[in-house]
Amino acid sequence: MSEPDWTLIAEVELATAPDRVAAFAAAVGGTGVEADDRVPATFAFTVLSRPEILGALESVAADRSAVLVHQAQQFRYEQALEVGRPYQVAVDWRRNPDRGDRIVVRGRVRDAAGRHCQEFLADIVLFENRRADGAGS
Amino acid sequence: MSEAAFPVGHKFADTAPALLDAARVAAYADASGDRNPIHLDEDAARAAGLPGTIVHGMLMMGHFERALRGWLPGTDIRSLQIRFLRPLAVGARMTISGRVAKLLPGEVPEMIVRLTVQDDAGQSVSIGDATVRAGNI
Repeated sequence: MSEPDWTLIAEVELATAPDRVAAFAAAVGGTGVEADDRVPATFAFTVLSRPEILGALESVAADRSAVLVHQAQQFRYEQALEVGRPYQVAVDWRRNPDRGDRIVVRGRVRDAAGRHCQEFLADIVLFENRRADGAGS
Repeated sequence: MSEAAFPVGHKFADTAPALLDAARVAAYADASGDRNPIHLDEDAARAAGLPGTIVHGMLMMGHFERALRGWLPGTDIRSLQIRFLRPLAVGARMTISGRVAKLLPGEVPEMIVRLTVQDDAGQSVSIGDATVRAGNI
């Protein structure tokens, strides 16, 4: 459930199947076979690429004829994610009250027992002039 | 607490330059699901106002974890954050620098490691920090 000012986009499952996690770990510079069946620290962010979430964010940007530019990212961890276990991620967003061209997208990850595992926050600029003078995506 | 193994100001060895070429970026796109064409298609990147395809910001951030675990084996990462300063062109090499910015005493001591991502020219493309716990802090 979202708090005031936060608009829920979706609650989605975060699958941590071994092959998927291994491919991600290898892509971010690991061997693909990490110790302790550990899921890479930034893996949960991948839920933002889900069509229902990306589509909702692109709709927010489209209202301003803008594109999404990822400006900053943070994660706070309570407990490590384990390979092969199911997790739920509640994804919501809010506008930056001080900057009309900024939004924050939040993901809160819980395990099957409902325990909070981690939270991530993405600062996103709704970039309107299609000139790229900052930032990755 | 005994003398810190890594005092404030301690600089970790820079990571070996990592080549983030089209194959690495494509592998990250597949593993993360982020197939935004500005990372994969030169024409689409130019149409978006970029000089060419750019590396996913989250691919850079993903490398933070490997750097931290290389410097501090067995470390427990409590938080990670990054700010994307400028795009990194596909085909560039990335180096991560780390420096102890702050020690946080407590029952379980923590430290804040300041992280900088530089391109081939030594220009900072991203900055961030990590809060970590390790037995030898």
